[in-house]
Amino acid sequence: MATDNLKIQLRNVSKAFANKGSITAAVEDVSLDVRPGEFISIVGPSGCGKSTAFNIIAGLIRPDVGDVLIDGRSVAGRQGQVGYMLQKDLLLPWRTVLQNVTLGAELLNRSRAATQREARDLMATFGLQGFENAWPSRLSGGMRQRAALMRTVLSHQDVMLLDEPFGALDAMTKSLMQEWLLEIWTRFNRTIVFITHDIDEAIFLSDRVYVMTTRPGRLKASIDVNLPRPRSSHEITTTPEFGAIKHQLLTALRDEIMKAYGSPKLQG
Amino acid sequence: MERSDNRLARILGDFVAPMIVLGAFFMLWEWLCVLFKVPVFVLPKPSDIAAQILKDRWLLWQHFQFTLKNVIFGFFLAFVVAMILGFLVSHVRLINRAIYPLLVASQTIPVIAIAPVFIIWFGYGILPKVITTALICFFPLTINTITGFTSVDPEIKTLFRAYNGGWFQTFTKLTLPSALPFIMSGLKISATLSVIGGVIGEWIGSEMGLGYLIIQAGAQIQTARLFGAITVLAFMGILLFLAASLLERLVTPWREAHRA
Ligand SMILES: Nc1ncnc2c1ncn2[C@@H]1O[C@H](COP(=O)(O)OP(=O)(O)OP(=O)(O)O)[C@@H](O)[C@H]1O
Ligand SMILES: [Mg+2]
Repeated sequence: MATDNLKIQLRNVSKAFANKGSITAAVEDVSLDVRPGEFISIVGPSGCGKSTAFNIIAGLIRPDVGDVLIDGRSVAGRQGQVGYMLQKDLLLPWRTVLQNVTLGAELLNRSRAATQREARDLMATFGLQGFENAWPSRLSGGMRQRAALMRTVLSHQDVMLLDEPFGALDAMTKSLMQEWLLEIWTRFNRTIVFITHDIDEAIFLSDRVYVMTTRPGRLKASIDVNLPRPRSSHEITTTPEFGAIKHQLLTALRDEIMKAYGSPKLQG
Repeated sequence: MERSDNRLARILGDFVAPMIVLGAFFMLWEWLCVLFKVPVFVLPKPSDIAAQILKDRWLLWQHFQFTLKNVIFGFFLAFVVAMILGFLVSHVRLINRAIYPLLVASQTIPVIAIAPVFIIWFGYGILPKVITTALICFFPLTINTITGFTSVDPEIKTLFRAYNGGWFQTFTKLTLPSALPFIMSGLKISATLSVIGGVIGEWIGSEMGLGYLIIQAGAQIQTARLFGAITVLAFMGILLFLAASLLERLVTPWREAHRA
């Protein structure tokens, strides 16, 4: 395998949590490769270990078995290698919007002046112009998520991990944010790992969608999305090609969800 | 424009409403005293008290200064101790287990009961007064500080970890700002309580201060003067509370924006 031109590699990664005597296998033997500049999504039933896999790539959780590599170097247990964004925007209420979007770069000890300059230039791109000095409590939900994404972009990490970033937004805002995320992705040329429960969202955004099984999370299917880019509007979601991919994904996922509901392990 | 109108209305509401209630209360008091011909040494009329305050203004001012100085020193002492204790209890597990229960238990001992000990140890100087004030103030401050330091959003903490934030960066940029609103409410509570500490300190032995003046006026049945001193004490409490509120606005401006 040509490992040189791979951005992210998970190699047989497994992770179990010990909880009050019982052991929960969250991720089991997951291997996947992401090329530079790719946009991949991971879907799967709730609690199947998506966020665990995500945290392993971020270096926040050390895998029990296996390794995770970025640019061919092991980053198992090493933080500060990726940009990181969750469903909650995690903006600091005591920082203005400008101070918030520069936080990631600041923690990574990147040049303050350069980050500030870039942040000011990008305010309009992220729809935040005029709010530089506002407190986050003044922003709408969509604006808060854009600020959170801007923080991720400004951290200047090639890899951006997004864990259900639009999960809490209303449908309208969500679809606007998706189109806009693709613009950002194209413009900044980053590699994105995206976690979502929304299959349409996964297909619309990604080059490839991974389906995970019910816990312990294994990779069940990897489905390529060969829809043309740029996918600037949601019209593409009404095409037969889109429908076919969706059908494939739903079939793979439905089995897993049925399993989850049929299994008493769901609550465990 | 509309916002500043609202603001004005709010300030008016904040000040005028309590003033009207207070005014009505004083008028009723005045009227009842006149109606039942209550002797001045039992209960002076508000007008008697006002006249007495005016007459005593120099005396009251001197005692006010003395008490205020002690209270402020005690308050600062409590603040320093509370910050150190609050930090240690919330950051060092062993200290948490060893000290926290003692901290709570210490509050079952009335300060006034142990205050005489300070006279034995430290004499009649400023120190016993400062210590009684500090003892009254430090508990709400410490508890609030501990709550503040332990109320950091764990997901934001993880975000800091994801970006490789070090301990110091995390403390100054996350833990401390998270704790500030709690510390500030502790400060406001303590500011109001601090006056009680100062008075207790003077009651156990002093030749100066508003607490001393109250004891003296009481012994000589100068009831109007006694009420005058109480009024000035209340004024001091309000003053300290306002100062703490002002500090809160300066230190946590984002919360003000949230409220408006
Ligand atoms: N720190 C932890 N300690 C113990 N158990 C954990 C921990 N983190 C996750 N788990 C368990 O591991 C399993 C997978 O969790 P994970 O958060 O990765 O799921 P997920 O796929 O992201 O779910 P969702 O779609 O609901 O976000 C769950 O059963 C969860 O309870
Ligand atoms: Mg998750």
